[in-house]
Amino acid sequence: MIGTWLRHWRERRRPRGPTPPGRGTDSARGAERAPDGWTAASTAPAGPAWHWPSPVPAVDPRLEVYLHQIADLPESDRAIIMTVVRQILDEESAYAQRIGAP
Amino acid sequence: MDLSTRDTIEFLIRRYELHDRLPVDLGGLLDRFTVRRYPLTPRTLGFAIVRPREIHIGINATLSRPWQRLAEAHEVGHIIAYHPHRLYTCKANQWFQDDLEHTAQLAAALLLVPLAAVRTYQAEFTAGQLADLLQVPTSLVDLRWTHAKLEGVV
Repeated sequence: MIGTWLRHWRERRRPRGPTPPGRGTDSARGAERAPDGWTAASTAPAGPAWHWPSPVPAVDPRLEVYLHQIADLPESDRAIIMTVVRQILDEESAYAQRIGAP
Repeated sequence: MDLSTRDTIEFLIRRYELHDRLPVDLGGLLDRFTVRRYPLTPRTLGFAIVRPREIHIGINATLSRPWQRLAEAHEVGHIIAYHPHRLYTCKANQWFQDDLEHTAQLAAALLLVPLAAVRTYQAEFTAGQLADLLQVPTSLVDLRWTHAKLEGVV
């Protein structure tokens, strides 16, 4: 009973659009052995666009402390400053890893 | 501006011989930081980010040379005064909205406009002429002169 319900639930959760390779299907099969669902979906009317679930939040949590300080600046200026901040923080992280800091 | 910040500015002026020739060359002082230029909008003159391994100053590349020099000195002012937050922005015409911005702007005036030059104000040169000689905006000469007047040194 539980098994039937789980299969039904998983079926409902499956994305409607083309399944990205390596996600949701056996990735070893790849493009040369496209599953039937893939072919069918590619010829069917376009559904909602598939988006990879982002593994990181849209806003880097390290930048949040800085973002509110420049909230009143134009968007392009904010983008430039945040890019610089991100680069500096990335370099710090790389340096910390290099010297084995906790 | 507190006395500690003022002392630090005086020390740096002597240490880097900033006022020994005109216009003031901040190069020796700016060599301590990473200075880059970016295509910022006219609203933002510059910014500074203070991190343990690097102090990064970004300057609006579209500004004229006097305004770029002002932005550089303004950001140095934030750093010298050890202001909180560690991310500073120099926004156009916002220098009197809070104490931190006013302090940074006054530090810029102290760094870029030597007292000897201010003493010639009105008697020999107008503010505009001094600004041209020192390669700074006229408003910075006015601010420096006002501060010197309040201190009673002119």
